[in-house]
Amino acid sequence: MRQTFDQQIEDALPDLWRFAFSLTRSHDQADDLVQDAVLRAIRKKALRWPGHPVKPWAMKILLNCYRNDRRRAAGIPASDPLALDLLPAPEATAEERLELRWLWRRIDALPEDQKLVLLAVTVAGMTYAETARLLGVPQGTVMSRLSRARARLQAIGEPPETSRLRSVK
Amino acid sequence: MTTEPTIETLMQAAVDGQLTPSQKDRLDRHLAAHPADRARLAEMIRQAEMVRASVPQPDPAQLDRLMRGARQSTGHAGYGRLAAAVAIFAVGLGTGLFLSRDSAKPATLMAQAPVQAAAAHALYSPEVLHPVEVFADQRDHLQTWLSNRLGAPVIAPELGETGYRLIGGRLLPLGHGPAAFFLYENESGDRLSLFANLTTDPAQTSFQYRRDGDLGIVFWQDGRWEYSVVGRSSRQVIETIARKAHEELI
Repeated sequence: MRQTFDQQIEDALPDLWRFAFSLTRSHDQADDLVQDAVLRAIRKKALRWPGHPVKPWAMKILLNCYRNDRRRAAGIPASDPLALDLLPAPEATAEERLELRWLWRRIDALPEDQKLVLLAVTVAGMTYAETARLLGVPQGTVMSRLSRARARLQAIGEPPETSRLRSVK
Repeated sequence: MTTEPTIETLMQAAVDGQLTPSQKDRLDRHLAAHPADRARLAEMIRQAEMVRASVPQPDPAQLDRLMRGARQSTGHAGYGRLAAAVAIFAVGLGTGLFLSRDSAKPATLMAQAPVQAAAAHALYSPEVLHPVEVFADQRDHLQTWLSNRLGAPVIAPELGETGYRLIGGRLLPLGHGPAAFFLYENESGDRLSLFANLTTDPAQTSFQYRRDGDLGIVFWQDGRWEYSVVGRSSRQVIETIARKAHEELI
């Protein structure tokens, strides 16, 4: 039995929110993005492709909202990698916490197209086919971007410098 | 022709739990013989897990609030407006009159676009040498030019798996304002056009279909944008293209 539109939106909410959070790294901005995207999704319900799953479609709306916000706020850094609302594992050592920061700084330093693929797959739990649809590229492109992104995350040495780095104690 | 995924692709899929059983067997055999890849895979999995775990789970109560907030904003006003727009369009369909010169009601303004879109398609789609002003090989230039003239970002959507490819586009008048016209063609030479223009009266409608002679037209409004897809194909094909275009234009 196919789920209703509203049910599918509600089921997708946690992944939508996590995707929004991973893009903005802020609870408040993630809330705003999700609300904006859901509002637009409900308004555009009648224009949906009937029978297609709601989640990838809602993700695309969310991504467009994010890009529009970014365009409006051109010049303002999208996310502050060190103002982390991120959660280290409770038992994490100081070293692991540091590594987590490094990891996210590397993610922020990725080219935008690689970063989006990585976050859609890793954080938002999207399949490769859904990610390809989300970004409007062939699945092979998704795979190569993912592979390049992960190779960069594994690169040895200091992560790329960011301007906020000096505020770290 | 389907080619086997590369080992690199299988390794990525292993990180994301997207391997089929037979792919998993193939990867396991490879890893058994390649300890360096085994270590690299373990490291990729560890990092992916760290990233995943570091993104908080949303508070369900907060998600409820967001959902309620979004629903309220689309309440009565939104649906009333949609219903009105649909009704107005239906009147236009019923009478076959989209534009009446002695009336300045929004009804006629709104319905102007699909008439102009059909006229543009009838005029330009048979052209062999000059169907468009700017061809698809200069897509960026075309989009920038039209965006500047319309005063808002315009994109020529990719129609992907529908088999229709962009030929190009041109700038056209609509009333006293500008409109963007994009022409598409499939392998058998069938042509479809997308006509996009801005209005001052934002609204949301569903897809409206009408026929004008041998042309089928699907019209919809999304916020300030009005779109018309026009072609000689069946209603089903034109509606499919309209949905695809809309999906790209979200």
